[in-house]
Amino acid sequence: MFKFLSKMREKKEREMEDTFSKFNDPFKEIKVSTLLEDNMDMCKKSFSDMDVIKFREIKSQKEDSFKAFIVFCGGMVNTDTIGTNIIKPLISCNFAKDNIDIDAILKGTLQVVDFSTTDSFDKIVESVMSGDTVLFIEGCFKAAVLYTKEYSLRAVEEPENEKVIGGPREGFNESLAQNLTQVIRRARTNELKTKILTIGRRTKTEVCVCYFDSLVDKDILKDLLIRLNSIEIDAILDANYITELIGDHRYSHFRTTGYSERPDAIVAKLLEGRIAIFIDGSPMVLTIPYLFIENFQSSEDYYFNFYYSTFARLLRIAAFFLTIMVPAIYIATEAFHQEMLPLQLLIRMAQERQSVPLPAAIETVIMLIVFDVLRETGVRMPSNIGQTLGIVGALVIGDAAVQASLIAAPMIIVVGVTGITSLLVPRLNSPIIFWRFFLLFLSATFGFFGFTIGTSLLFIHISNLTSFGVEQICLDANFSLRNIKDIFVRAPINLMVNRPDSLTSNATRQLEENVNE
Amino acid sequence: MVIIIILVLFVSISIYNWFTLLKSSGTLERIVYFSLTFISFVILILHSFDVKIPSPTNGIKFVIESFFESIKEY
Amino acid sequence: MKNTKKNTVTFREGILSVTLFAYGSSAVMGINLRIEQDAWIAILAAAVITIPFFLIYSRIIVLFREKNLYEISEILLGKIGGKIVSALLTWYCIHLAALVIRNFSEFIQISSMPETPQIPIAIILMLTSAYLASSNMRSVGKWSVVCIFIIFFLMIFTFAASIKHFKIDDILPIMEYPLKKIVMSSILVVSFPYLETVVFLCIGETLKKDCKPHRVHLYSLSLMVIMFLMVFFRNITLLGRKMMEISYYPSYLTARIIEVGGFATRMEGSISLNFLIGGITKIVVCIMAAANGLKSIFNFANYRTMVLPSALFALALSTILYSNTMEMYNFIKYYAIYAMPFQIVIPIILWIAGEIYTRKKNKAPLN
Repeated sequence: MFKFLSKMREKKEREMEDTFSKFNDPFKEIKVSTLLEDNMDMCKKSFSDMDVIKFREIKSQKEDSFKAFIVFCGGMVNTDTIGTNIIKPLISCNFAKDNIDIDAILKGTLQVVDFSTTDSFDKIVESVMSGDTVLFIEGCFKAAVLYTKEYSLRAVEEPENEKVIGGPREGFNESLAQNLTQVIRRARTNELKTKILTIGRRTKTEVCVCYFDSLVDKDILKDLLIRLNSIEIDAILDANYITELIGDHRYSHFRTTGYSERPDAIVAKLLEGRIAIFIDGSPMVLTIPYLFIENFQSSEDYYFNFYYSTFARLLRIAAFFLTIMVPAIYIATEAFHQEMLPLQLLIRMAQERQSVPLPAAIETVIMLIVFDVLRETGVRMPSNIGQTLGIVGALVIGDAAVQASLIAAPMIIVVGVTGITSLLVPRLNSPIIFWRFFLLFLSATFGFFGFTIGTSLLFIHISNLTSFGVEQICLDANFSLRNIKDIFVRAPINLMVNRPDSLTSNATRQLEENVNE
Repeated sequence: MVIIIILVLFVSISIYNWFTLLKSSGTLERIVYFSLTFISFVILILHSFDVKIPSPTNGIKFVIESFFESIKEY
Repeated sequence: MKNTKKNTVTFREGILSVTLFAYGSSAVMGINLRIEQDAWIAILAAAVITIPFFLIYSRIIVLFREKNLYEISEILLGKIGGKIVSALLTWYCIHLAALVIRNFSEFIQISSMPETPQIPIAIILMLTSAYLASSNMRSVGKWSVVCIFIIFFLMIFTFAASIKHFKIDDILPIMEYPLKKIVMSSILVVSFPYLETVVFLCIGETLKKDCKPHRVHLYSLSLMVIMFLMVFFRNITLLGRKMMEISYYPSYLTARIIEVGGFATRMEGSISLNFLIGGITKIVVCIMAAANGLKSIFNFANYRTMVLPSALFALALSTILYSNTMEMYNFIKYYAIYAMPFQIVIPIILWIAGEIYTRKKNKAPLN
């Protein structure tokens, strides 16, 4: 039975693959011909019904037998380059049809920065669609791919999501080349390796794997390249596609890859032995492996005094636990363990609850959802409406609801604390939502017993997490002072002598001499 | 109520493990798995219907008492 | 990819998980020995009795690195003998897991949720343990590191609160009870928490290769003794000897009356958390060991598929074990004798056979 099903599935998969490959590569087998006419026909056929594709025939003024034509995609090319550096020299050249030499033309006549030759139409289509200009010459069995890319991009701006008070303000934009430039500008060494892969059957998105040769763990790099190469998908539109396809735990709420929009943060991660993955068309750059503590680190930590940074980091860690646990603890004490409250508080709470219609657990769920609705609306709104929304939310949900005895006043405090603290750890958004309600459910059914069970499950889940085979929390190592320096505290920079152990084999960051001074 | 909880538990466990068991395709493994699960299911259901099931505790006690008679007094 | 493929724990994690395991259910049950103020003598004497057995356990680990008791017995006692011993040990592990589940569901029902039936409580306890058991030993190591800190924190907190009430009269007169009774009580302590660590031997390849198992065992034994003594002194100080004797859960009762600085009162909620994490550890290790046993009896490739069935079986067993709480307490004295074959006889047989086996094996190439 099972075998039959799996056979069926295999067969179906094979059929799908066949149709894909037929659909995808109709020009795979076709080569460039020596006759210009044939090539022209072939090009017209390939780019049929595509009005953005421009064809331009070229005839030499000096030599009648020289005929050529170029194909490019309008809007993606620099027309100045095409006009002055490609068309103009070709018009004035004097190559005869018989002794045509494409290499000589490319090297001696044309004035483009980068070029290559190809004879497959598959490659030609891809080049044209990515902004290159393709040149066919009568009598040549190869076509030339000339670099003429230019398209409009968003300028380099400060990223909205990772604003800082101190430190550099630059952020990535949607161009792979420019993003790489920003990183290379900060790490001017030939140890920084960049490998470009193409992923996505239809989008043919360029993905760049970037790392420091001397720092990276070769096993992790190999693992990453295997996973990237085994991706079978037709489109990569954002970094999250890659995240979900190469992660260790696809169904976990927790991230197994890091991301940043800030070049300085990416360089810092690279310098700890991590690998960065740039995706063309996405300002998010991924880093692997991802340690759990990175959820609480911010690049700003390193641009401020370490006392303040340590405080801020501890605050973020506390915020994670608070935002998950506060509603559950409230429900557990309120419904099951009233004896734990001081008497005064208990009386006050009983008074408050007396006039409220709903049970506390349902009340909490409703209020938490209302808060999330307000937050979600605030994110999508233009910023000037967002403020109004805040006021309306605070007044209506907070004050008026209590006045009308729809909800109890302590609930406002609980929801307020929960909501505000969740904003401190934006990287943990999805686990927070899930685990908060999960703990709430357990507490509402079993009191503190359920709460303990839920917390245990949370901890077991986190300790099971790995990122590319590296454990996300590694407790035995954390107990040595050497590794604790960048976990709960941010040690002074001169004391951070080592990189995290689990990421790199080359752990020394700076010479010990600096420390002694 | 308890019966519903037990039913939900076993149904969800079977659904969850159907997929994990499919991957590891040992016949013996499946037999052991399902027999153990089935025994526990039967015990739990009978227990929740207040059927008296002989407890291993009594057996152990009986055996030990027949060997060491003095333990009763301790 | 450092040390992730290997399913082993470090030296420190080993100590802590063994300690937490032994602490597990005895914390909630209390060292209830019916010898009142002389219990501390029994705790210490039991530790002394335990040392040789722990050394034997460690020796078995040294003789057969990265093998568990099932595999060892199959090597030493042949296929059929090995399977029989494995089946016995597997039964013991499942039974122990069932006992612990029952202890805890009973405790939670009595202490905080008298109206809730025990089965749902036991179910979520079992599911949590099964989840941790189906992850690897490294997660158990991390789990014990975190839990032992919580437990120690709470214990020191409550101990500090009780210490100002301590009077030397509480533990006087020393040796009020006859020696025979104290020795009997010590044997109970040996079998109930201390030697239950034999279950760790059933998991196999738990310790990293470079750590010395006898050090792990002895360190954790001393930690256990410290913890039990602290619990004992705290309870006897705050409850008095009669009260401690008659209550089912003396530690829980202690937490009820403890008061720190006027604001931290009625801390039984936090204390039950303390018990619970110990109990989960114990169930997890038992279930892992049982699943490993099933794996070697039926020659499976992986123990993970067997985790859930063994957990379910332990759950079912736990419901039919006793008909009431009194019975549970009466069983402790039978348990001491019942557990002896598993805790003492089988390990000693395997140890002696193992020594002979390794001697022979080492000599063989010379001849």
